[in-house]
Amino acid sequence: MKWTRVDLQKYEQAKEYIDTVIVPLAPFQIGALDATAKNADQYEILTLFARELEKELMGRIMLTPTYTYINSAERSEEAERLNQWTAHFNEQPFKQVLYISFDPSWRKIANDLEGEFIWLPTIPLKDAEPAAIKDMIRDQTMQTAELVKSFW
Amino acid sequence: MSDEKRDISRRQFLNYTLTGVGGFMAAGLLISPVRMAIDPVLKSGEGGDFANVGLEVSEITSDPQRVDWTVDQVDGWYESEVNQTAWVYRNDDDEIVAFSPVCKHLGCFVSWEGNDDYPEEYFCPCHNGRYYKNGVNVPGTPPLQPLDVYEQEERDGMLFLGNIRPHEEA
Repeated sequence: MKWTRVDLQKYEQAKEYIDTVIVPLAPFQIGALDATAKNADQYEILTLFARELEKELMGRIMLTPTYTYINSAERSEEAERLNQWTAHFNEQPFKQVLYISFDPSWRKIANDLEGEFIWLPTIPLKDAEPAAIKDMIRDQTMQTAELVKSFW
Repeated sequence: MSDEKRDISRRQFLNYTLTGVGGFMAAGLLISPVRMAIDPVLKSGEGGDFANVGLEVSEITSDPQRVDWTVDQVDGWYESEVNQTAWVYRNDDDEIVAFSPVCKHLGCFVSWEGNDDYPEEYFCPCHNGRYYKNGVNVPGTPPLQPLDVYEQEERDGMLFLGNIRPHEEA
């Protein structure tokens, strides 16, 4: 399910079946072109990827809006805020909160997060053929879906 | 003599005018129903909704295989590419069948032999929904309906899939 009116109505009917929240995490900045553009690419791919994942497993997951943070932000502070999100989700109740991101900096503090962190290897968007990107996203979606299933 | 010069009397003029206006009004009223009545004739014959899924018909076996393809979807002014998926196989009557992968329970994607415990069945990872090879739901599992079926046809040896409709054995 996505965070849309239609899906939320479905969620209301089937709350007991949807026990997993997926939160995409994406760094954001506007600065030096190279780094900024890389973040923008990441954000786009992550959004596409999260939607594909949601399609695959929609009957059991709720995909939230992407959590964005300034690239240079202190991760421990962000982790605190993320834990607030998680606490909020657990009120519903959701049993499982999964964070997905291309940003490896979360790994270091993954233990401080109250949800599970899943790091995805970056998909290079630059210079790649749209068809190739599609295949890569599909590939990674299937693999990540397997990983998500292992939490159930 | 002056009366004879007036070819049209006031009464006649009004009659003609009203007949004309009435005719237009009648035509206006009739246009939509007539257009609707002959609508199928005006539709272009080419089944525009069918898409090439990139699979040769000769490659389809009795083992279901997953195919993925994209279609352009125009939603108002917003045009986007939508990914679609199907499970395709040849049934016992040698007919090609393409199932929608969307579980009839809550919409996850099912996969053929997705669970080792249930061979020869479609399995939904979300809530262990199961379907037999013919797409019919296994009683006692969450889904209450069989998998939907894609309309399909063969063109130049390639498989084309169209709209989704409910399973006939439902």
